[in-house]
Amino acid sequence: MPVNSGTKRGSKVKFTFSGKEYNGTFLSKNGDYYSIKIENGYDVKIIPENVEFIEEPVQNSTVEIKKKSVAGTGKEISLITTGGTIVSKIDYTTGAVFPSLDITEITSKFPSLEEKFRLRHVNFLNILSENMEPENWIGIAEAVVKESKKSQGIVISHGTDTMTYTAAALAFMLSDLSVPVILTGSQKSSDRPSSDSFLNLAGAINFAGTDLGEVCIAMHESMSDDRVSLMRGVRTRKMHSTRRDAFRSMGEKPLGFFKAGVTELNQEYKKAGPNTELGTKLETRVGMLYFHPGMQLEDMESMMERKRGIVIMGTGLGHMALKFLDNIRKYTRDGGKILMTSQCINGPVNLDVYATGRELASAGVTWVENMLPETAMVKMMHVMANYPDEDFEKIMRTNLRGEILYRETAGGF
Amino acid sequence: MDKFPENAMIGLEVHMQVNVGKLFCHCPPEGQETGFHVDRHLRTTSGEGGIVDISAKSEEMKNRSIRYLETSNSCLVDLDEKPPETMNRDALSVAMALGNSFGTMVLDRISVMRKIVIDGSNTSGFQRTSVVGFGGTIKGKSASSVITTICLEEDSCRKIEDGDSIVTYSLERLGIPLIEISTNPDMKTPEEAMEIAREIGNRIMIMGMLRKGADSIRQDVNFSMGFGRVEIKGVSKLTEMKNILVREAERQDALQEAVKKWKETGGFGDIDFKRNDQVVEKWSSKMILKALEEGKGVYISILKNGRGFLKNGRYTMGREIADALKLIGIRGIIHFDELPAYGINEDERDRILKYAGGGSKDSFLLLLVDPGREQDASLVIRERLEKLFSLNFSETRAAMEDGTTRYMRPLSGSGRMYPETDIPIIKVDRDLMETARELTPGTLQDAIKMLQDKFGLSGQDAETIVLRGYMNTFSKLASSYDGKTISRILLQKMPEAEKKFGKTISLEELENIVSICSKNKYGRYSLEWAVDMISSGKMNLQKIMEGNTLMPLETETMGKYLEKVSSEEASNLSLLQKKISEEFARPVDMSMLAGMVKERQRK
Repeated sequence: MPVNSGTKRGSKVKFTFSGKEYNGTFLSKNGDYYSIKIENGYDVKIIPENVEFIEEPVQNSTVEIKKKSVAGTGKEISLITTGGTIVSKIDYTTGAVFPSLDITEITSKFPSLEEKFRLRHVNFLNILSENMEPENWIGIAEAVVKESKKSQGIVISHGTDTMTYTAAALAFMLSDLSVPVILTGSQKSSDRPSSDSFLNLAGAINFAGTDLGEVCIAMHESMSDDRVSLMRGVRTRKMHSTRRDAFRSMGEKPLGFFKAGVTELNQEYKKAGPNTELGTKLETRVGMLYFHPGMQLEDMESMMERKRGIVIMGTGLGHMALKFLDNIRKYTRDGGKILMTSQCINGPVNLDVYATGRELASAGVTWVENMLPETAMVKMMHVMANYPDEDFEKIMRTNLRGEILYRETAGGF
Repeated sequence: MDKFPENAMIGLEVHMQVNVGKLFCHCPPEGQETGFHVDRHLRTTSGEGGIVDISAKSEEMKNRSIRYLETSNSCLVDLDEKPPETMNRDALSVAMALGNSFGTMVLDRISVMRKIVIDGSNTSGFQRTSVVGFGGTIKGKSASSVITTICLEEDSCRKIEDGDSIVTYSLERLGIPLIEISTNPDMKTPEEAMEIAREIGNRIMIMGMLRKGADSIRQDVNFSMGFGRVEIKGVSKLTEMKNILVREAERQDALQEAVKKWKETGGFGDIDFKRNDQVVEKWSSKMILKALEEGKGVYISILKNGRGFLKNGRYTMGREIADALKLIGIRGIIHFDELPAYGINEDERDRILKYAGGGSKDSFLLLLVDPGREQDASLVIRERLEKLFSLNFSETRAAMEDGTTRYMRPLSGSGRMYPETDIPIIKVDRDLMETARELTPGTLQDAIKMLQDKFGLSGQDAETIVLRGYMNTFSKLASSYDGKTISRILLQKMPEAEKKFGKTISLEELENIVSICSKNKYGRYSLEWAVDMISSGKMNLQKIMEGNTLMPLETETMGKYLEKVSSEEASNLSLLQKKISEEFARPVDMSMLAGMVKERQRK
């Protein structure tokens, strides 16, 4: 039967297949086919001509997930959701996964968590993190300030793809914190029984109940659902596209761990202070350039035309082909900023060792030890907007939030 | 019960492993443990209709952690650390071919679903499965059955150890393609069910696509006799099916009888556990003393009118209760009927009954549990008894090795299915249909006849070739070498070597050997010699292939050797053949040897 107004999700249908008639429930239209759920729970794809709608969907056919109200007696923790895999589940019209889950469905899996803390749910955004923009960072930072007045700890659920950028942005914008700010997410959506979201969220909420005064990331330590690492936001990187232990603290040990309900902070960290200070100014005309053999002068020039600052991910110690020297010299002379980082991710940039490095430095390239490229970019946005031009190099080289490691030990890699 | 119930309805779900690698990754089908493991937790999530499946929920209540042992044939997909890859088309074409052979109507679009299973047997917490087709008929000699669906799914992990707080699985089997053929409940007797199951198994044997291994075919049996559908999981041997079905029918018959009698006497009343560690001042039972030492309590509840129903001849309601408690991790329940036992004597038993407030028709339940858990226990016991008293016995049960079945969980509903979002819908294209058509097997009789006509095998050998799953290997080898010899190697020589040396040559090694013998026109002695050498570990394939070792010993060398042999030695040809073969580490052609010995005698 042709499509009519009866094509509602949940409608009872009859369909014929190879001359035989079957019963089912209409789910959605996918391309040229109808998705029909048959009685044993399987979905099949049937062409619309062979489907007859016999009954409208029963009202309330989807079960409401019961929301638990804030019931605990412990510290009040704000849970700001911004979207991402952690709150994603299947979207039946496209068949793909999309952020749409109520986070209480996850926290309710942990009655002990809901008893231990009083959770304030703040639905702030609902996007996948690749769509995150600097103005969203500012919005989240403002929400943090607002919540810091109402609760004693803040957890931000976030897509994992750009979580470290947001963490770095919050770290630089929030110069002082009266509460811990913990970002967490998941690599597997929460509609999967094996999702890492349950443990990550439990870890994050518990970390938010400590005396930490930094912006950190809480994610799985290993492929086991065992410990959650607490990692300094400005020193963390997503190092695997799919594994639950994708997030690694780069060059330094995690600040602490969460396991079986217990948090343990065993590295030096900044404690929460009396106030939360926010500076939301960001220079958004900053770009990033990944140097590679074969890169053309125009590639750099087109970026230089539009940006006031460029972070270059150079090779090894922080190198790039010398053919770019003239462009760099001209750009920095005209007030542009260039900061060198390394594609190696691990280890420092040092422009003193090779002749190439020295020439780059003399052409006006700034370099700072072992700052992660993404952190360096966000810091540049913050520094260029908040400090006088002549202090740029000095501030970039100053360790503001733990982004620079002056000591690298053997265990860091 | 003297007779199998006439109103019995039996349906089958036959699962067959396909030997074409894994379904959603590029791992090989076999592997060993690597020593690495991960520990996980699985949690229920709601299905497509927003409903949490009851069987999944009951599993979550156990709150166990799950350990997965990595194997050399597993990858990040198996560890659920990477999305699945596209479906293995070879596996799909085998499923389609099997469908073709029963007249199943294959769908033109395949959607992969997730079936929530959170007992840990799948790292993801769901099993990926898809309907390949509907309908079709399986015809046996006397019975026939209609196919409900043919599905293609991924096999689950093999359970290694089952503890109260942790359950251990190996990743070795996870992801192996599994074809599931489900039938309507058309069968009336165990014999009919066995016939239909055998018919299904034979088809994949004929194709030669079944994975080798003890549990490559597993049956789940749906059984009902008027008290609801019971799904019996994991009947691995066909020969056990009759025993299991007969015993299940007996269990249900005894159960309904017990329930009716118990109801007549007034029912089981209320379950209310009270703690009293001192109901007996000085326990002599070691079991109870140990439990008290561990901080557990002695909890007692009356079970009204229960005397003689819990463990008394055919009546085994005690086990029904114990099995349900085991599912929430509670062991150690004691009731009146089984005492004296466990170091509890009659006097102590009567004192417990008196404490519970029971009379001559009553029983009691005694639990040894941590404080607080008696609440969970009474809930589970009440639910279990109420269900049985309603004469609705529908549930999922596990087949045990001794032919009995054990309560596993409530029947799973359709609420546990939702779409696999990582895999786009698969279009059944012309290529797939063509491959499936070529693979489509005929009946067992067709296959036997083909082997007889084309290769001159006896009917019995032909049948054995098919039913041992050698059809593919045999056809391949017999296309370049004498079929009777190949049949002899597969059906006699290799099992003999296995018996003698504890291992035998692999099919891959055999293919290599046959290829050399075929190219050089070496006779069966060379083949047999190679089987012995490899099976005994005296030579490996590489060594055999490198030297010209497969060539039968030359006449000249053999002649020289025979000069030194006494006529007595020469009279036992097979011993002589063995001796010469060992001396020169080469095969000896028996007919050649016989001729030469004869010649010598003549001289």
